[in-house]
Amino acid sequence: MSRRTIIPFGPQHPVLPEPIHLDLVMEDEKVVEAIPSIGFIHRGLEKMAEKKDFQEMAYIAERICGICSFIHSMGYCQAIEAVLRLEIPRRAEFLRVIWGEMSRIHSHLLWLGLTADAFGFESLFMHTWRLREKLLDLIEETSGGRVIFGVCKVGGVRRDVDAEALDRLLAALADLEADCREIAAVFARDASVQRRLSGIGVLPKEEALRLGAVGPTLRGSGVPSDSRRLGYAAYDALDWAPVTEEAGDCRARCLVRMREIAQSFDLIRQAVAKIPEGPVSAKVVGAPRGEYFARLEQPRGEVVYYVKGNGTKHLERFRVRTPTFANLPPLLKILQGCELPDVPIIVLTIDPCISCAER
Amino acid sequence: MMIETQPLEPLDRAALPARVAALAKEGWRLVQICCSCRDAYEVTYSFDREGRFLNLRIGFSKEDPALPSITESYFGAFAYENEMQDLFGLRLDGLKLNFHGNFYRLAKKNPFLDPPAAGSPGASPAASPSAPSAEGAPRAAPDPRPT
Amino acid sequence: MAHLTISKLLAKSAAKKPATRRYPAEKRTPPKGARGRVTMKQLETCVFCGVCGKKCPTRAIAVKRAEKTWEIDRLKCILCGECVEVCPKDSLTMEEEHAAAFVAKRIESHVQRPQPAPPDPP
Repeated sequence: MSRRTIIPFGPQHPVLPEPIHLDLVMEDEKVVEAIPSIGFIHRGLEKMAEKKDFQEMAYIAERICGICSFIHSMGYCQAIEAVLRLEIPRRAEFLRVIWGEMSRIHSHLLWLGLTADAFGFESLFMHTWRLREKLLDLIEETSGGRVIFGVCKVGGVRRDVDAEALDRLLAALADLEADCREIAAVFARDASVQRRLSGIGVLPKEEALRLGAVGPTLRGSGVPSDSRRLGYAAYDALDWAPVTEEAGDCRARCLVRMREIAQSFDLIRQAVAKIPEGPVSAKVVGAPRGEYFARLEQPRGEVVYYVKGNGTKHLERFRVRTPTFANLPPLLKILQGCELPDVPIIVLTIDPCISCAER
Repeated sequence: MMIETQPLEPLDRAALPARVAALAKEGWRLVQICCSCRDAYEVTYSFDREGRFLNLRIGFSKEDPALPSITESYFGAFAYENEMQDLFGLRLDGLKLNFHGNFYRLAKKNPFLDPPAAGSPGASPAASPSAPSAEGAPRAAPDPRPT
Repeated sequence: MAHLTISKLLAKSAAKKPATRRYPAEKRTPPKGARGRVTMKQLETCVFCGVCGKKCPTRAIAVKRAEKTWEIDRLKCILCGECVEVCPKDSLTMEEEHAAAFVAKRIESHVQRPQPAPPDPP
């Protein structure tokens, strides 16, 4: 046996926008074991729910993560609405789907850019983010905010998007979709990208399920698991199927995200075609009493919102299980046996969002 | 509106490892573990199989904050269990990857255990006083501002 | 496997003008409906009811009825727009342009001047 060394990775590392620390136990260039260490940015947002009005918490929930912001507030609102047995207008549900999918595209484009940057493909990174910028402009036009949408509230959404604006959105998204296809072709076919991603960090299907992987990490291993299939919001009215890839390596996870971008464009088109007229919010009466687990699909995977109310304006317990938290154990498994230079790219392919994970 | 049916199975603490092992064999995916503590501990284990959702719930008193670990069946549970250990001061027996209270870097030990007192460092200045105010009661006066 | 798949994209973008703006010279106009900053647009109509301050999730707005002042701490404001929605007199507006950056913490304060006394009711 060769000599073992421990290499600290993070919390500050060029590929990591957020702090996570890994102790990599090495044998020569091979990682034998990875021991994570998180908690640098634990904010205790769950505890804050006990001191905030449950309707104001929607703003805090949105700020759990700066990337998948909209789906966080949507998850929180859905959980509260389920406890209150509050029926929200159908138009609000469709608008939530449209914004949710825009948020997914923006998150995936961000991730693709970061990945390109991590393997040193600067021009691809720049072009991916150029497209993301266009999408952020569209988000600002429809919701009023670029990253923090601020449109979701308990009982529906806070602003309506009129038919004319939806048409403009569709036209702009059609252009963006064509641009995204060009980028996707590079990720899917370019030899240098494939050399860097293929066959690296393989997560077999059984392992992925057993370790509780979620989202593109799980679907990249060939499991068609997607919380949107539960049919929350307006997903029950749309025609789609989860995207899966069989290989389970870094490239598979990358392809899943790329195909999900295409799927999101399609879902937005369907939602705009089917959106009914009507009000966009329902009046909230009373305070939540009871408990519910709301499960939604975020760009990074399944998020679980648990709320427990005791009939007052303050929740008794609020808990968020974010996808990155669930993807940490699979990450440790993937890292075992990989080469040191591959560690950054493997860490990146689970799309870690640490501030999300620690809340 | 979609409301999922979420069966809740009350369970005894001692029966947990065996029940979880059975679920693992049947191919359930561990979704999350949620601990909450007001007058007594309440730990909920959620599982999913092809979209079906199942909760196991264990309740026990504050005097005896210990729980058997399920990392034997689901290694991924170590993250949730360490989180409970840090935030709620639970003792996890048989935890395979134990950070001994250092999973999160916290300013205060077991911050989620008690309802925070008014004016404690963890309390948000905006929401004090901490006592749940009655419906429609006026909010706290504007908080002190930096000059 | 293909090589240089990005070259077409690069050639195309080289022919186009840059995707970025020459910032101080060329400024971005925010789209209609963007949430840029909350302003007290019509101070004379404000009745200092304080609803905006109560509805503010971060308590960024302070209203003093006695002194007839309306204050906002822009560093606390999260631009949700609740205050603008609830204002009964429509004194508040959400402007699309963002507030300029500032170097020291300060509270923006608006004091209503004494208005000419309304004519006595008959």
